[in-house]
Amino acid sequence: MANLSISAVCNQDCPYCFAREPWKEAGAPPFISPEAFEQQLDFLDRSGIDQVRLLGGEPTLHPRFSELVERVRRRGKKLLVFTNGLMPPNALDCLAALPVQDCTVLVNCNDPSPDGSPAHERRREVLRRLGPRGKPGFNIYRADFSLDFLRALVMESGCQPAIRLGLAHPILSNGNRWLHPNQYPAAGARIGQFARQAAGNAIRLELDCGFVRCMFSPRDLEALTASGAELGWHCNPILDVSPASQVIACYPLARIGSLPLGPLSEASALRTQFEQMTRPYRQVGIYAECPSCPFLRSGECPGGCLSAAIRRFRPGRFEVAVNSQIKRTGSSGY
Amino acid sequence: MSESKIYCCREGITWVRDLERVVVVDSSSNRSWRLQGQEMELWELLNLGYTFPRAAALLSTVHSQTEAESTQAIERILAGWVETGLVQECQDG
Repeated sequence: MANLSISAVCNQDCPYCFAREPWKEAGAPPFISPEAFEQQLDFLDRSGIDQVRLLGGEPTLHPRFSELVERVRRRGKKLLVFTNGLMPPNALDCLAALPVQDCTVLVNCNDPSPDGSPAHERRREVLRRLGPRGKPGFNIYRADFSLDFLRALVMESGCQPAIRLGLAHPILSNGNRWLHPNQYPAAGARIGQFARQAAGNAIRLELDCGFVRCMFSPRDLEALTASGAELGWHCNPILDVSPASQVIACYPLARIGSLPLGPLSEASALRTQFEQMTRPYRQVGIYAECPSCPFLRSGECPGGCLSAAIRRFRPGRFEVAVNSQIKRTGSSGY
Repeated sequence: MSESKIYCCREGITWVRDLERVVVVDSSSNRSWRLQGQEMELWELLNLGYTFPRAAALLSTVHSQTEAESTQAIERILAGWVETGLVQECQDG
């Protein structure tokens, strides 16, 4: 898999956003050009990837969004769009006209109480129009979240009976709000409670990357299973490609480094390069207890999001004069 | 007259404390080290700003050693760290 970021522009200002900083730092153009988009589709072809995942910024703000979707269609690829739901009418018309089996639109929904009802109303309208193409998603960046509004949204809108939950992970440049792993058990309890309600409405929960086995009690895991959730604990960074055709391991890990997308680039080779760059950090989990955890030892859980694990590291700068004095220096690092 | 040596961390070194070990990563060379026992303790003490004599005194208490034994142990550890590239001898200042 690989995500194509076709827009560096967004019409929301989500506190947990992990996409804002990397492209700003890379000096990416606001929108991808059709030529660069074709090159990125070639890259997907070479890599044997038959799904095009469009991200931003807000991808539907691209002034030639419909044309880009048409280019995807001509390649015979399926489409997955990650949107905040506040899309222009022509983008909505374009997506709502696509065959259901070829298009999924993940509508990221923030809690409507601080967000204000106009945005929520627009998302509801968008999900209604998209019907089974649409699926709401929610990013957890604080422990006191509520998911109840999502259940109502799914039931009212006729979208897919599923909700995708994501944990907000830290970007290494310190630019976003994220859920600290110390808060995971509290979040797990809320998710478990919600899963019991969702199962009553035949709503399936889907867990994005970075969830860990130990954040859920056995009872909560049972509730998740009953809701149809596929339980898997993974941190498999999905390549993100910028409008300027720079590739990063994933948004939170952007600070690790980027690679240019060349005419011969292929996804598995790029992924291998990023794996080599991050390998030393892979031995560490998000908790100090991770190395002795049976779930990690058995390979069931990788120890959470690599970015959150890297955030535990601190700079090791000191000078020690033997038989004299030790002096600490500096304080920079991740 | 004994010669005084100054050791310092290499640039780009970061580290994290797990329950029973310290993991040190050098991002510039993509190398890593796992420190346990007395090495782990010394690493933490140095990063907390302990002086050599205080580190030696503390380690001697923790491990029921004489301060001379702890001093020797610290010197041995530092020499090992230099050998593996974790720290380097450097100029003061």
